[in-house]
Amino acid sequence: MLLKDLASAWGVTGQEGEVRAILKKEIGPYVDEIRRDGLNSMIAVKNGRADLPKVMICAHMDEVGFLITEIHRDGTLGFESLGRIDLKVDASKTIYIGKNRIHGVIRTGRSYRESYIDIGARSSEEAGKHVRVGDGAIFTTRFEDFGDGRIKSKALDDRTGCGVLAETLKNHYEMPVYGVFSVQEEIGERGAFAAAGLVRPDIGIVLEGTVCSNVSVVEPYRHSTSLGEGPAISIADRTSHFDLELSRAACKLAEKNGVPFQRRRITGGGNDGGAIHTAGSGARCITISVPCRYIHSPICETSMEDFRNTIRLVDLFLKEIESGRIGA
Amino acid sequence: MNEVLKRLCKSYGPPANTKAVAAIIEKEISPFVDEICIDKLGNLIAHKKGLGKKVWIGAAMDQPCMIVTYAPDNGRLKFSVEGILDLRPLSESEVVFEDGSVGTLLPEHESAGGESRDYYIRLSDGGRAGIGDVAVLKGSYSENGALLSSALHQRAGCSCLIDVIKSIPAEAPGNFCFAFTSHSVAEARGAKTASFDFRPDIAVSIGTSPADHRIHPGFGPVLHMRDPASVTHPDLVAAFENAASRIHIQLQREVASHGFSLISGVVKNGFNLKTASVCLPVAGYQTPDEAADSGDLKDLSALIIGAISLF
Repeated sequence: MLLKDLASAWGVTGQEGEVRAILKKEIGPYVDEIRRDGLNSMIAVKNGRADLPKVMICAHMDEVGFLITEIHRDGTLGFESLGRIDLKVDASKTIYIGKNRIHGVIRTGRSYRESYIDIGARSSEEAGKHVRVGDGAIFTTRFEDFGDGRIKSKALDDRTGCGVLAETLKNHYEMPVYGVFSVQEEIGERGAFAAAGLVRPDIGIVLEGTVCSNVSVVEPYRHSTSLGEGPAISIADRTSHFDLELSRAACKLAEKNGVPFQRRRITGGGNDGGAIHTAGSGARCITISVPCRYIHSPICETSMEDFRNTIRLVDLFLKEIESGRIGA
Repeated sequence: MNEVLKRLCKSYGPPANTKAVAAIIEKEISPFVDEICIDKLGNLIAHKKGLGKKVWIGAAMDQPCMIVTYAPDNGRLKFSVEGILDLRPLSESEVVFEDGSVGTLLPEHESAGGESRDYYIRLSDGGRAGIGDVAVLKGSYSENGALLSSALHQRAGCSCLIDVIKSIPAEAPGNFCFAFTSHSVAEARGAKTASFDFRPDIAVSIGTSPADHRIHPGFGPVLHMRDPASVTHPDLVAAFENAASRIHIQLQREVASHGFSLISGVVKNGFNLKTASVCLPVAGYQTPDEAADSGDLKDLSALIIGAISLF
């Protein structure tokens, strides 16, 4: 299953090769060209009519994780997060470190500086045989079914987006479509800045796995999105105020075609849209997301029906662009 | 009565939805420029073609806003703020939505601080608003010796730039791009894209500065020596100071420790250019009772016109 393969792959920020390889194999037969830019984002090109808008659809390959910063004399490891991970969710979690996936367990102090990873080594010499400063680390969470129609996994932000994009690229559209699997989103949308500068789209569609908080201990007005209520169409976040007409068009399209949908009801966070809409002389940009509970933690949860409905909505939206009913 | 500034201050214009403001501006400036367009981010960009240096002058159109994130049946709307907006002095102020629906910003409790979670919007009778709808502070404007409005800090820059466009002498050297930007309240995103194609040699941002113990309305326009995101080039400092001296206007200098100008967006394009930021001093900044000196506004326009010939 593609989503399972993607979510289970190694892809900490800056080390997205395994994810890229899976995606390249999956989409290769359906695109005209696959490029890699200078930062290693993968750009899948589907040629199209020059009189139609150039569309860039973007999902990021990297996941939040850790970086080993120090090997202590007693064999424990100093580390920091790559991407924002609240220290509270790290306590006693197990991780894989480096290419050899050395098993470690996190012990937390009051800050990352006061926390450490134990890999069972008794000295820095022993630890140094297995890990190095600069090695990345990911959570060991397995992808599994979780209740009825739901799954749990690490890295659903943004392997859900990658999965939606991969499925979308299997369809034919008349306009030029650039499917960008970006890198380094979690540390400031860096891959998207570079890729959008290359592509210079007319329209940008960002696909994300986004926050979801419809649980009883959270007041209803703070529910960012709700699991099981369909793809979430963003209004604004810290890096973008999304194109009003495109966002409204996406909502109307979902309603008209019986696709459940919702608005992303917070304006916190940010995504590759911040880079795409300000690329060059600008692009009209929206974000459509799969709601995922507990993102930026070891275990995220999503609804497979939300995932499938996001694929449906993106396809409908692209067909509107193809028809000329949505323009540049 | 400054009718243009009045209309600007009363118009609805959050980020990504500045059509109403752009329409006022386009009507005012179209006889004075060679071409006007609205780009993909809603920036209004006008060109006055000529020979010489490429000069970009920008002012922001959009205003901080409240995005409805929760709309229960009881009509107590919860919202998120976009842009820099201190809610404490705005308690019990009227807000308005795009369709004209009016609401009142109210605190949830007596000890409400500055966070949006401490407030809600109560819609007036007949008003309608749902998730995703955007409210702005209801615009007011009057003149009573001073310019009084709830929206000076958002729209005075636009008014000044309109005056500059109308007043630039035909023989003024330079190839001009005038940008009225959107997406400006949290960062100068619109300014980045609105200057990309033009690739200016010089960029000037027109904005406003909060009055404090150093900066006062009635003492002339403000030249930002630097702010957290940009530094005014020494050549442009000299140009503005020479211009002020020639036309006998006061000029206040400021090193701003907060805020940002449109220059912070322009420089992200990576061009090799000189930049400057000039402002109108405004008292009661970001409250319903902002006040500025009409003489300062006139002098700001005159300063920019005078400096252009010295760039």
